[in-house]
Amino acid sequence: MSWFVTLGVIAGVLAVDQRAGWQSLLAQPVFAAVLVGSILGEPWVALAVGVVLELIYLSIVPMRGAKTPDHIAAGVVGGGTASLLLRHTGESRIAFVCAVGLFLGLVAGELGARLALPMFGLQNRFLSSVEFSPDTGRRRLARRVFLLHVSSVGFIFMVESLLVLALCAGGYYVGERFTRLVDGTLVQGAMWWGSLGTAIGVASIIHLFWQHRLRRVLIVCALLVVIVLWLM
Amino acid sequence: MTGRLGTWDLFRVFLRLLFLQGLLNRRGMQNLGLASALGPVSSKLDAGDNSLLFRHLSFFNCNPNFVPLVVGGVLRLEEEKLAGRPVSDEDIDRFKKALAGPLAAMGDMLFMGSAKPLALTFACVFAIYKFPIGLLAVFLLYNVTIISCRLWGVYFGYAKGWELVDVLSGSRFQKILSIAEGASVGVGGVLLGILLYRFSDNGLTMVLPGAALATITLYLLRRDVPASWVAIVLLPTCAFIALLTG
Repeated sequence: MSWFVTLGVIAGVLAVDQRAGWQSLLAQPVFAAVLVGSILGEPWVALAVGVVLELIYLSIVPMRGAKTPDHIAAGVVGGGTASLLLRHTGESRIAFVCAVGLFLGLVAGELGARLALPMFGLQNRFLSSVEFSPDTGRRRLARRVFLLHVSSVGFIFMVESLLVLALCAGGYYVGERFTRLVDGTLVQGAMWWGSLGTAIGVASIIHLFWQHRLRRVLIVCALLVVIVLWLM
Repeated sequence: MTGRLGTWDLFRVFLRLLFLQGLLNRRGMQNLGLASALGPVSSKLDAGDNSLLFRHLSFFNCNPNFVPLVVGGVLRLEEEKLAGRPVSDEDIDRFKKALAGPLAAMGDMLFMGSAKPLALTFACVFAIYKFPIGLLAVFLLYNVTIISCRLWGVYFGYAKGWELVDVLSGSRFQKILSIAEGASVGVGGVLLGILLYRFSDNGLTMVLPGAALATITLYLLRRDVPASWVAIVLLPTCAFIALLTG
C-alpha cells in the first residue's frame, strides 16, 4: 500500500508541473516511468515501458487542447506496475512483465483522462465564476487571488494523486492475477504485442512529421541512420 | 533597475508566473494567474487603490513561456503611467492584447511544435540505447532553456517597455523557428531510422506484420484514431493469433 501512496504523491507532483507549472517534461511517460522505476529499484524495466509509451504518444504531442490520454497516469502506472510486478511476484519473464506494464499504462492513460475530465471541468467552472467586489482593498484582493492560486494547485495535486493511487492499486491487482494465470501461449502473444509496439511508434513519428514542409529531411535522416547502422 | 521595481520584485513576479497555468479558466483564460503574479508588486504600482489588479483581471491568453515578456512590458508601462508619462489604462490594455496574440502563435510553434518534440525524440533515442546521462542531459537542457527564456522575458520586457513591439516584429524569430523546426525533423528522422533498423533485427516473421501494422496505424492516425487505442486493441488480437497458432 505504501508504494501506491508513494506513486500517487509522485503523480500529484508531476500533475502540478504539467497542469500548473512550466511543463518540465517530467510528466512525459519516458521520464515519469524512469523516475518511478528508479524509486522502486527497477529503472531499466520502467525505461523500456516508458519509451514505448512515449513512442505511441508522440503523435499526440502537438495537438493542443485535443482530448489526450493522461500521460502522467500512463507513465506512473505503466512503469510502476512493471517494476512492482518484477519486485514482488518473483516473475522472471522481463519482456512479458514489460508488455503487461505497457498495457496497464495505456489503459490507465485512457481511464485517467476520462476520470479526471469532470474533476478538472468542475475546477474550470469554479475559476470561471470567481468574481471580486470592487470594494475589496488591494492587499485583500492580492491575498485572495494568491489563496485561490495555491488552492487550485493543491486541487490539481489531490485529484491526480488519488486517481493514480486508485489506478496503480487496480493495475497491480490485475497485473498480478494476469501474470499468475496466463499460460505459455498467451505469454507469447503478449510478447509479440510488446515488440509490435515499436511499429506503432514508427507510425506515430511518421504522422508527427509527415505534414511538415521539411519531411524530406525526415526521410534523408532516417535512410542515413539505417545505412550507417547497417554498415556498423 | 532604474524604476520603482527592483531585481527582487521582478524575480518574485517570475516565480509566480512559473505556476501561471494553475488558474487557467475558460472565461478569462490566464487572467487570474496574471493577477496573482502581479500581486507582489501591486503595492508599488498602485495609486493606493486596487485598480491595477482589477484592470488585469480582464481576459488574457498567451503562450505561458512568453507571458513573462508581456508582463515585463506591462510593468514598465504601469510604472511610466505612475510617473506621470502619457500612458493611459487603454494604452496598457492595447499593448497587452497586441503582444499576447502573436506571441501565443509564435510560442505554440516554437515550444509545442518544435522544442518539445525535439526534446522528446532525443529522449527516446537515448532511452532506446539505455543511456541515462543523455536522458538527464535532455531534461536539464530543455528546462534550462524554458526557465531562462521566462526569466529573461520578465527582465527584457521590463527594460524595453513600448520598444518590445518593434523588437519582436524583426525577422530574428523566424530564423530561430526555422532552425528549431529543422532540428526537430532531423532528430525525428534519426529516431525513425533507429526504430526501423532495430525492428529489422526481429527477423522477417516480425518485419512483415510490423510493416502492415505501421501502415494501418498511419491510416487510422490520419482519421484521428489515437495510436494508444490501436495499441490497446492490438493486445487481444495478438493473444488470439497466439492461441490460433498454438
